[in-house]
Amino acid sequence: MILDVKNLSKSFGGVQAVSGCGFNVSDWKITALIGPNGAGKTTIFNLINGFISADEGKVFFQGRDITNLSAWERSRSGMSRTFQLSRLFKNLTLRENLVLAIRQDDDRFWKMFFSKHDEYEFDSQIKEAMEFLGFKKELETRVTELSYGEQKLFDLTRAYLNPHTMLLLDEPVAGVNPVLRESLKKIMLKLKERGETILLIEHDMDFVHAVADRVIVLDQGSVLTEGEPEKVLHDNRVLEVYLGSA
Amino acid sequence: MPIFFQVIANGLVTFAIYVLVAGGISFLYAATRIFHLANGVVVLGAGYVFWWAWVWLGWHPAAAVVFSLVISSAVGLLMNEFVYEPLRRRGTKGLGYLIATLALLIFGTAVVMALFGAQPRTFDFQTASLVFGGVYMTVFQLWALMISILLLIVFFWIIRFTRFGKALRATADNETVAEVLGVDTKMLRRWAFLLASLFAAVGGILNGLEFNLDPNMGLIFAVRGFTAAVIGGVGSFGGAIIGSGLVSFLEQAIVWFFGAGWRNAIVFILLFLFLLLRPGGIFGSKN
Amino acid sequence: MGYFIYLVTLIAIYMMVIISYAVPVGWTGLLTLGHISLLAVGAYTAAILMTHGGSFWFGLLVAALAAGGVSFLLALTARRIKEDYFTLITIGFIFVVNAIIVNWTSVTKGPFGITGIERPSGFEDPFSFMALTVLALLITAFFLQRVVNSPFGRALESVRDDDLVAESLGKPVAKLRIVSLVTSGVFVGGAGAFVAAFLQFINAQVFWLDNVIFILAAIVVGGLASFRGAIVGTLVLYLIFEPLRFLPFPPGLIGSLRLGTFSLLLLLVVIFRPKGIMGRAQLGE
Repeated sequence: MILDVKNLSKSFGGVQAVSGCGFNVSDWKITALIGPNGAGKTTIFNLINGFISADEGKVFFQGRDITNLSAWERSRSGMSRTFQLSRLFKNLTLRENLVLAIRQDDDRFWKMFFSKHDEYEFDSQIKEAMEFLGFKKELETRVTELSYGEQKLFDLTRAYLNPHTMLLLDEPVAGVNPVLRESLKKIMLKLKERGETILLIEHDMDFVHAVADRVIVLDQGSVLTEGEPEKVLHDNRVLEVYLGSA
Repeated sequence: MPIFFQVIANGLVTFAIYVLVAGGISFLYAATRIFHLANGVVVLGAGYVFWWAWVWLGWHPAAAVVFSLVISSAVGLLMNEFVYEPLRRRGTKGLGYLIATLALLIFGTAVVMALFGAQPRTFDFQTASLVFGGVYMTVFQLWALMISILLLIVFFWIIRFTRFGKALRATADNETVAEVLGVDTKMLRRWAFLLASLFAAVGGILNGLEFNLDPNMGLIFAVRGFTAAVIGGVGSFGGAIIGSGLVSFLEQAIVWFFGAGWRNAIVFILLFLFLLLRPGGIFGSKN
Repeated sequence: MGYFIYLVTLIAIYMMVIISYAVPVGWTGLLTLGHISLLAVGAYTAAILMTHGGSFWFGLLVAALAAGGVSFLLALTARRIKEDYFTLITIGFIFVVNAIIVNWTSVTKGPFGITGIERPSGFEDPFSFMALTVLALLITAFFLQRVVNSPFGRALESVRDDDLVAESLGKPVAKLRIVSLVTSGVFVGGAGAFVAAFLQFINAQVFWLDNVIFILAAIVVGGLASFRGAIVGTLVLYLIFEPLRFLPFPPGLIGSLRLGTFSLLLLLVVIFRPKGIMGRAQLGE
């Protein structure tokens, strides 16, 4: 159990976005977090990776209580995430974006000041990752030139290169063309084969069914049910929350 | 205790002016997400244009007022049309607008300085003094207060009861949804700038009459305006009033006890503390 | 010739300030308007020490540290505050520093300023002082260039471009912002000592609006995240007005002309060419 979320609650203004939410994520498996819009999925992600702090509850990562750690500390402890709408360092090149993900010592002022640097020193690592994930692009390209699908793949590549023990993917196939979608299904399974642990949010049930080992259903800020995709996706309660009660 | 009331009385015109300027900045931010510091230019310009029309050209004061209001609103609208809208079309966010509004503010100040000189000017304007239980006020101060209150009531009525007001509140809440619901946000912004500029212009004329015309006032009002808006809670109508009240009262108290030199500094320390401890301001909406 | 030496020294000092200023604004995305006040802190610290028996070098050191310290305090506020609000705080900061300079008369001699500041011994003549200033500029440029070209510089840029993603990649955003501001502050403080020694007299007017807009316009017009841009911007903006010195303009008009031109250029660049002449980045988008 790499991630253990206990009793998380968060409200914004008067709105209770997440309420008494608890679940865990097992190592080396792909866990999918699903639920209708407004169920609190992205809020949970933000609570897990530290962008917002919970009103109540705790988050345990690799056995450690990380509830009070800031986002960057959580990242350093092994979490790596992507975003629903890809966010890029717009004024930098592809290579620069990816090197930023790889390097974890670039905040050390004097160390960086006195040591020698080679812009290309991580190229082989980057190329390997791009090859593995099927992301083909010149490293000199400015990120603003990428198409939507390329941006999604790029976001994944960046998260992958960021040293991690768990990947948090926020809607990895949202809005992508069918070819890329099929590609990503295979990529997820390849990642699992490589020993990756993944927690993802998705709306695409076909995708979830194809890649997830376990599915957790969220509704109105708390867990409705969880289990194997086959079982969960045919559960009446789940169908009801998606279609809405009449 | 009488000192307390005198201090408040002294601050009344300043309070009235700050409310008009701060209120404008505050609700403009709510409607457009722009910190329109350049509103200070309107405050500044209105006073000078009024002076020019009334004293220099010799027009009837009422005509001068109308003239000043027209020019000031035009300036405000032009700033929106030719600076903020193009930036918006490009997808600019926060900082881009800030640089632009600062540049506008300074540019406006420079134009005023070039046209009217850097020395402060005063109006030859006096009204009778009145005494209320040991507290001195002039007739003008009372008028200024009444005009502001009247304008605020009008504004409140607009926000609450007109279609425009509802559209404004909807846009302030969520622009995308408002657009989907049929609000013409571009027109809305124009009206918002018009209203904010008018208020600022009135503030500028009042300030000119009560105190003096000084090119630095543009910057000073912009800055006090945003201080009051932030302290009160940006986007909150009531907040702009409370914020202005707090700032003007504090300022007068400081001037009374410590002398004029420290007045700006102390107000900023207050702003600083608020932003650190309670960024939403007193009646903060979203933050 | 004397005029030329004067001009070079003055521009060199401006460039020291502007290059330092470029780091938090252009590389880290912190739109601070307080750098002129940091310059004032440096200049006053140095001036006070030098007029009370301290050497220029001692004044320089303490000025740099003092300005660095004040930047640290200012930077602490950047931690929990949204970017636009940070800029507003820096505006407030300008007023606070100005009020202190004008009112703390026992120390700063108020509006009259501090006079009779001496040049460092051995460098009293204009030419050697100019050489010293240019040397200081080169040291500043060399140091900062190394910082921004290193991976640390890239980390700063990630904070500018998207601070949330930077956090999610393990970058300590608050620390990066603070270091950026403090480093910049230290060099600006040092430049302040040079201002004091160069003018041999300082008062509040030296550190006011004119220069606040000048340094911002210089880096935006020249282009953000580019030292070459900063240098070009400084030269272009400064030299437009130099010839006017020799024409019989009333002094008040020149002041507003400069202010008007700088702010207008700033505005035009922001609207039509946000990357400036040769910038690598733009703010707010």
